[in-house]
Amino acid sequence: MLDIRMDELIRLDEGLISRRIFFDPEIYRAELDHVFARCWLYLGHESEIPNPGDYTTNYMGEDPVLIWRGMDGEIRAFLNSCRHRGMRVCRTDSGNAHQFACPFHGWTYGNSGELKTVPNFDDGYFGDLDKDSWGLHPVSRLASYGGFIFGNWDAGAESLDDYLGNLRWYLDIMIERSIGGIEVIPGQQRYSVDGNWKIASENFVGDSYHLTHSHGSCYGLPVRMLNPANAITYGRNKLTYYDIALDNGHGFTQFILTGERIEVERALAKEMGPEVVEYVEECYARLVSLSQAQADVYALPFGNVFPNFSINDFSALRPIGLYLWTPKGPGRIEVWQWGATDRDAPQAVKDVARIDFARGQATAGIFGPDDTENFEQVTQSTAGAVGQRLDFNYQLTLGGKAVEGFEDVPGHISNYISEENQRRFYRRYANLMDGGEGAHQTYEKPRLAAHG
Amino acid sequence: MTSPDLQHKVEQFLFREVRMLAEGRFEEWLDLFTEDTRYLMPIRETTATREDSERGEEFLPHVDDDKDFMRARVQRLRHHLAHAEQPPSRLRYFVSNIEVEDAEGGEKGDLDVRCNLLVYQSRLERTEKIFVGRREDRLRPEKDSFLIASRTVVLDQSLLPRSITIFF
Repeated sequence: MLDIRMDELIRLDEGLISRRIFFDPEIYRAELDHVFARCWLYLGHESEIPNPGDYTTNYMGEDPVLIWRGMDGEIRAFLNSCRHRGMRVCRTDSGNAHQFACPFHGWTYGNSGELKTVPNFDDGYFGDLDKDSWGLHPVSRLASYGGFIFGNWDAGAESLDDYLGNLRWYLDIMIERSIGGIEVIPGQQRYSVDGNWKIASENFVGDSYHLTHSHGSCYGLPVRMLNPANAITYGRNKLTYYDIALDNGHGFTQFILTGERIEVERALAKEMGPEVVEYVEECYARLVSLSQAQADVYALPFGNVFPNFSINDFSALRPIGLYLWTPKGPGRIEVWQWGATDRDAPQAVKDVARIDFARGQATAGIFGPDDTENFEQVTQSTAGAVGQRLDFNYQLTLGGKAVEGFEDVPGHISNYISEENQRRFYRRYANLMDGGEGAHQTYEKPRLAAHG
Repeated sequence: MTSPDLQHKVEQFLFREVRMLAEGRFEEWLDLFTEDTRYLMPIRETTATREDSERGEEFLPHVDDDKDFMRARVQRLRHHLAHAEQPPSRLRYFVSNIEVEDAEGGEKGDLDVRCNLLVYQSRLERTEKIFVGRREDRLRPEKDSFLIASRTVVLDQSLLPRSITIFF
């Protein structure tokens, strides 16, 4: 038996990370315990299940969960597995139900998770089975932030608010800017990637470095969603972007801190008509009433909520993109993604949102597939005996100074194009895996067996 | 009842069309669509009833393109940085169960054509993916051939085997 310490494989002071962490099955098993069973994980948005009995499904790590609004209006979440023999209780993606009968032996659960009926209760269990202790296994902690529902398997975990930390200042921009609240467009795009989940998460947490090359085929296209931004970004070349690393391994990139985001927005709105111009001004005014610093930031634009929930938010006129990189073994991800708009956005905005989403960072969009190609080939590079002995290079801007002069803006600000956000993502990851800062008190150090 | 001649003509059209895709002749393929065409691929979900599983207009689609965006996709694929398809995948298209009917509505002579579709994608060394579904096309007679006035691709997979870099 040999303990693998993550701080030996992840040497951030040198900007080096062993390829082994993207492939090793033992490390992956430890991740399910020490990352996915301890962190707050995104489960869905309240707007997907507005009515009593509405349910949707998801995964927390590899554990299937059922998110279900009770007849009392309360949202609860459970392991989607019968307590008798483990059969999946709910086998549809979403819908409305007041109870689920397990297909195997018929144990039936109500939508507070309570075990209601058990066949042969009297003659088989002699009326003695304690139904109260055999209800659906609940997700230990459940909380919402601005309608975004998160769950945590660790009963002793810090609160969701503390976990999000200073990311909340940014989420508030997206949430408060939306008129009538954020509404998820029904339906999810789902596809498989033969890659490691961390490659996808780190791509969103701060990798603006890849945009010019990986997505270089897109920026010159005569495509509506890219035009106004391009006119300003690439034509006049006057915008200055920043990366911002946030608490607990969260990070977002491509921020504009000096207020020009609203100019881009106004240019796009003008093309869409007076109603949309008015809408944008209202969005902006809402942010100004929050704070001028938040109004100047205006949009997130893209980043990752640790560990595996990524967000795209470039504009009130473009769909918000929500991306979940669900692990299915060290070499496979199931990507689940949703689009969202403001509930009270003008119809002209809503009409293009679902289409724009599908055309951008999406299953068949112009951005998503080039990322898939990267995720898959990067992961494959970690499989070989020699490849595993090598490190990946995370030295971009290593030793660079934090940007100063934006005192009202929380987080560690880096000059645009850096790998500071990625380094901080992996620092958080290593801490959790090694039982250090941020890990739960009852945490046990992962014991990773080395064979031979 | 569709005449054997018309059935044959439609089949030959569909076979030629998918060969263009397999051979990467995308510009030629684009010319097969009307200017006001719509190319749609709905998502699929696992739902209690068969009807609900095919998600409609109010749902997020995989693809909802007009001709301009189809052109943009082709333009992108020709760019030297579109590495999701460079080097290109090896593709094989199988079209079967072709049913031809006079269209309800639409222009005079329009046809509603249904077929089953199986697409095999082999990429780089090891990537092998299979997409399976059906297509519903509205074909419009044009000279000796047809134009595609609309296409709906309904894949059977709710979880797609990979992100989509190809046309169906």
